[in-house]
Amino acid sequence: MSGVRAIESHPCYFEFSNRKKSMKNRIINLTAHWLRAAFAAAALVGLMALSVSAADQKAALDPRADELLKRMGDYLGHAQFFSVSAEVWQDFQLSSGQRIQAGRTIELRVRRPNRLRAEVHSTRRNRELVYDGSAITLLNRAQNFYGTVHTSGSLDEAMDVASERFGIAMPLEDFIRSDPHKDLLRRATSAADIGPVTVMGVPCEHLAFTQDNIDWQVWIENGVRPVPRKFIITYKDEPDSPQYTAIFSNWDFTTELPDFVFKFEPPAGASKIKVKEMKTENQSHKTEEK
Amino acid sequence: MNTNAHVTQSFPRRKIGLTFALGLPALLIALPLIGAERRGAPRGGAPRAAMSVPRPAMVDRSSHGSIRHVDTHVVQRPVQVRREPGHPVEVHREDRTRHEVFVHHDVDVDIHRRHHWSDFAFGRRLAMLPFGCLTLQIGGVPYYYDDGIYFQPVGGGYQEVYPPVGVAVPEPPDGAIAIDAGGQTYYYAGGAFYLQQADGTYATAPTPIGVVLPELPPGAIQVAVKGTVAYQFNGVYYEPVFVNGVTQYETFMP
Repeated sequence: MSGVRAIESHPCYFEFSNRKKSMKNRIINLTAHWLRAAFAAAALVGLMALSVSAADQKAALDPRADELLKRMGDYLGHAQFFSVSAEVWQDFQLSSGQRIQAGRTIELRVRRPNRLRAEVHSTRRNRELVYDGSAITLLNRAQNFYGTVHTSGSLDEAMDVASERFGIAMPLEDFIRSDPHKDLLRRATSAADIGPVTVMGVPCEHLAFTQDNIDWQVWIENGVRPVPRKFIITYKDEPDSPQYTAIFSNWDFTTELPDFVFKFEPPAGASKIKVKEMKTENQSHKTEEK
Repeated sequence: MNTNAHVTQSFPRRKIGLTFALGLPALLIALPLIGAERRGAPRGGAPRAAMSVPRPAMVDRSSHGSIRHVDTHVVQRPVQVRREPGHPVEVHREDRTRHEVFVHHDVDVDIHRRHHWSDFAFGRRLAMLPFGCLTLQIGGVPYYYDDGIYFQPVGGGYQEVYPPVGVAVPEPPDGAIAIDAGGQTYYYAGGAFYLQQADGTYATAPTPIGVVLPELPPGAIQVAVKGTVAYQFNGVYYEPVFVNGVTQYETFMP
């Protein structure tokens, strides 16, 4: 003990001890300095990235296009009921590489908050999709099969259940939702007002939007009834960027749609079949409804 | 000394703490944004959280026509085998990312292409075999094969028969659809399931049970099984089910 005290009281030890502490402090200060610099730089980069991205997005969304889309969305979203016809054309590539278009027509009847009937026709196909507030029913008229999925709630909720649980594509769902403007712009990164144009003889405003994997365009009727007249999705992340085109006609916001329109009656001789729930990557088909 | 040292050390500690408090969140915000920029993703776009979510399968996105659900459950259509004269069959895993024509009896899209084997009719008699038939033997029994259709000699002529199990052909029939089941890739055409062999040929396999097929075998007969509509072909039953909103057929044994 006395020996240790002797060493500690020695001037050389005192100098050594001080030098050691000084060195330690220098290391700490240097580390702190570098850490401060690194995090300050990261913070700066982060703030710059945020401000640049926010500014870019703001600049990319043309306020005029946004306003026109909102007008359309409000008009459709506030309509208590409506009917519309649409002719849909879809690009396909044959295995030979040749590109063709296939078409179908859709008759849509919507009554908020929870009624929908869609009839899809083409030369060989004929199907219906009915939501009556308590169940979604699919009908394959060509083979006379139908299947039911029990669900309830608003049209928005039913369409999400149909799509996300059963993989059922609700025709033109973006225009049926309660807030089409909000849903359509959810992932848009740019919006542009291309200008006035005529669709099937109807003066419209042509709007164009982009998002990460698709481009889409909508032609909105000018005047007091801002309804969509044409709609195109370009799947730009797929080979040859196929397009989905819908041309709308016969918009009707006056003819009332009573309950029986949305009541499903199986056609004579129809067979009820299962509706399979979507399977995920790690599981086979889940519960089935019949 | 000790007091001074304490003051000297506590000051950077506070600063370090402050720097961490400000810098770390900023870094966490900045890194994904920088990454997104590099990937060419939209600036300020929504985070792609769906990437980590298990995705259900088999929705054809371009049929969807939906922006809200543009990425919901999207996979490509089944690959269809395309055969060109003088070229080997091109069926590669990477081809699955391509959209090929998907002959489907119940899609919204009005496209339908028939294949040679679409005309198969069990028991149909022919006076002579089609030109270019392959001659096959299974356990000493002669078969003749013509692009997905099998024949056997009968009464001085030939008749169309169900695809036998265990016969190997050089390539799957034109228009066969690749189907994954039980960890294997089958090529389905004309009611037969082909599996690629080590020697490169394709052998007919027993029908896997529980797989969902986009179309019925040609000539499948409608039957009732426990009061439910079903189809029967070569001893195997097919139950119609709605998958992704369209009618498909699941193999089963009652």
